[in-house]
Amino acid sequence: MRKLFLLSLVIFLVITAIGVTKVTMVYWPGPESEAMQKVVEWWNKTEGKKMGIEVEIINFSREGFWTKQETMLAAHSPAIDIVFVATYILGRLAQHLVPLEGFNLNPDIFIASALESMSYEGLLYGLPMDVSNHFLYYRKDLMERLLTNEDWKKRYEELSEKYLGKKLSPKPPEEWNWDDYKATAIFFTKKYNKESPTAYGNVLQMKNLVYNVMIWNDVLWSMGGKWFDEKGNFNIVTEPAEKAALLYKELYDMGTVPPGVTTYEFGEANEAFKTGKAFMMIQWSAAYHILTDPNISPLVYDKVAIAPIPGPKPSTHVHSLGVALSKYSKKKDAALKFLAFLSTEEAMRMYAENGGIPPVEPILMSMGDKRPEFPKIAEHVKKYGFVESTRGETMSILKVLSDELTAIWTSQVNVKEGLMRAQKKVEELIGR
Amino acid sequence: MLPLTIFLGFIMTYSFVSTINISLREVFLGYLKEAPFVGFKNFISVLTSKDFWHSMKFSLIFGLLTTLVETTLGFLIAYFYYSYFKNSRFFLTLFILPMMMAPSLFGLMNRILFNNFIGLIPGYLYTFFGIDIDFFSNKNIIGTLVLIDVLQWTSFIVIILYAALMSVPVSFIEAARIDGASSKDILQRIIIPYITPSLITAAFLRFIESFRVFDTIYVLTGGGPGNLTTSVSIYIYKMGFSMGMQGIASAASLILFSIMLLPAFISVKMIIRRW
Repeated sequence: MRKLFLLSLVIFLVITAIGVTKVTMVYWPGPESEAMQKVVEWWNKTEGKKMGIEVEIINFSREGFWTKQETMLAAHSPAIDIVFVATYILGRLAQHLVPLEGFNLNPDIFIASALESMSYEGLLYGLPMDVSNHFLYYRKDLMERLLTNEDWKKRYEELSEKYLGKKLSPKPPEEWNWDDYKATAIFFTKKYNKESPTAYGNVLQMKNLVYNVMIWNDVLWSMGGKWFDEKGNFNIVTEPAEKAALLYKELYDMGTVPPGVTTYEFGEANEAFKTGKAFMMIQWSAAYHILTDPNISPLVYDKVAIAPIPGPKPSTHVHSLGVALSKYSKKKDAALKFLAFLSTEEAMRMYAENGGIPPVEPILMSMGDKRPEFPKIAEHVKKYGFVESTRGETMSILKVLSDELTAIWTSQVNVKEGLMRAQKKVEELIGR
Repeated sequence: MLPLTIFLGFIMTYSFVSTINISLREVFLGYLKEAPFVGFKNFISVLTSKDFWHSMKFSLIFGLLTTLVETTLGFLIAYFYYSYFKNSRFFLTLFILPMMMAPSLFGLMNRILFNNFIGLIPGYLYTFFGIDIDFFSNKNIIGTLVLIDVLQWTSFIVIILYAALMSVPVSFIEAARIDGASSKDILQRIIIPYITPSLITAAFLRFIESFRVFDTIYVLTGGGPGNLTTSVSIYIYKMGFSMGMQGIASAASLILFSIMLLPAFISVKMIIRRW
C-alpha cells in the first residue's frame, strides 16, 4: 500500500512537472522586483496554473547587472526567457530580443513617451513596467520660513549679491532658474550663512556613474542643450553643456555640497537629505516614498516637498524599465502569454499597489492617496520629460560623459577640454 | 590529480588563445562572429592611450603603497602575536575575519562605515576627538582606499608570516640566547633572514592582488572622479563591458599579463637566491 502510494506520488509529480512550463525572468533587485514578485505569485496561483505556465524571477545583483545579463545574452543562453530592459540599454540589447508584435498597447492608458522609450527603430521591444524621472526635493518647512521671514530674506539678498553679483529675492522652487538654485544653495550652507539650519545647501550625485549623468542631463536639457543636433550628430561642445558642467563645478568648489559627493549616488544623497544635513537635491522619483516614510526618515518625513527641475526650460530625464522576450528562449509562447498578462491594466495595478511605478496614467492618477508622488510623476513625465536616445551606444555615451564630467568637476581637466575629450571619444565610438 | 591538471590546463589554454584571437579583431560585445581582423591595431590603441597609462600608474602606486603598509604592519602584528599569544587561536581567528569577506561586500560595508553623516568612524572621531573628516572627499579618497585595503588584507600577511615564524627552529634562538644575543640581534640576524622568502612571497602575492584591484574601488568610486582611482582592472572592465570594446579590453589584458611577468620573475629570483 505504501509502495503504491509512493509510486502514485512520483507519477503525479512527474506529470505535473511535464505539464508545467517554467518561464524564467531576470529582474532588477529592489522595489521593482519586490513588486513583480507579488504579481508573479498571483499569476502562478491563478492564470498561470490554468495555463500550466509557472514564472520564476531571478535577481542578479544591482552592481554590474547589465553586464551580467548582456554576457548571458551574448552567449545565446536559453536560460533566460524574459529579459529586463531599460530605455538606455534597449538599443544595445535589441539584437538579442524579439519585437513584441501583436501587442497593441493602448496609448490612452500607457504614457506615450514610455512606449517610445521601449521602442527601437520603430519596433516595440519592451513592455514598460516602471517609469523613472527626477524631482527637485527640498525642505518645505525651511522654504516657507525663507519666504516669510524678513531677516532670512534680507540675508538671502545679501548673499546672492555678494556671490552671484546680483540681488535676488527668494521665490517658490516652482519658479526657479539656476541662479535661484545657486542662491538658495549658498543661503542654506553654513559656511556662508552661520544661521543656516542645514550644513549644506544641496547635495549632488557626482560619483563616476552613468545614472548620475542622467541627473546632470536634466540641467543640460533645462539650459536648452541636448546630445544630438538637428542633423543627428552628437555634439556636446556647446554653450548649454559648458554652463551645465560649470554649474556643478561651481557648487562643488564653493562647498555648498558635502565634500564626499564625488562618491555619492542614490543612497548617499538620500542620507544627506534625510539626516537634515542638506536643504535640497535633484533625485530620482523612487526616493519619494523613502524620504516620506516616518520609520525610514524620522527627521524629515513630514517636511519634504517636490518641484520641477529648475529652468529656464524645466526638464526631467525619463526612462522606462521593462521586460522583453529573449531571442534565445525555448519557451517563447509561454513567455508571451505571461507578457500579455503583464500588459493588462489589472496586472499593472497589482504591480503599482506593491511598489512599482507603471507608466499607466489612470493608475498613477488614481493612486494619489496611497502614493502622493504618483500623480506628480504622471504630470512631470508628460510635461517635462525627455529621452536622450535609445540608440545602441547610449550606455557607452553615458559612460564617456561620466568619466569626463567627473574629471571637470574635480578640476582634473578644464571644462572646454573635458567636453572636447568627451566629443572625440563619442565620435570614435559612433564611428566604429 | 592528472585529470584535474588536464582540465585546468585546457581551460587556461582555451581562455588564453581566445583572448589573443579577440585582441586581434575589432570586437563589440556580442558581435564576435562579425568581427574583422585588425592585426595589432588594438594593441597600438592601448599603448598610445593616456587613460591606460594613467590606470597603470594608479595601480602601481596603489599596489606599492598597500604592499608596503600591509607587509610592515603584517610583520609587526605577526611578530607580536608570535611573541605573546603563540598558543592562542582565538585572536588569530578573529583577526582574519575581514579576509573572509568578498571584497565588494567589504567595500560596500565601508561605504556605510565611513559615510560622513551616518558612518560610525567619522561619528566617533568627531565625538571623542573633535576631528571632522570626510573620508570620501577628493583629497582623502586615495588614502581611504588604501586604508580599506589594509584593513581587509593585512591579515593575509599576518597568517603567512606567523606560519613562517612558527617554523623558525627554536634551537637557533636558544643557542643565540646562550651566546648572549639580545632580542634585537635575534630578530635581525636569525628571524628576519629565516622568514625572508616567506616575506617576499607574501609581499609579491599582495602586490599582484593590489595592483589588479577591482571590486573595492569599483563599488566605492567607480574608478572616479574622472580617472583618479581607475585601476588597470577597472580600465579593462570599462573598455570591455561599459564601452563594449572587447578587442581593446583583450589587448589591454595581454599587455598587463606581459608586464606582470616582470615582478613575478624578480620575486622568484629573489626567493631562489635566498634559499
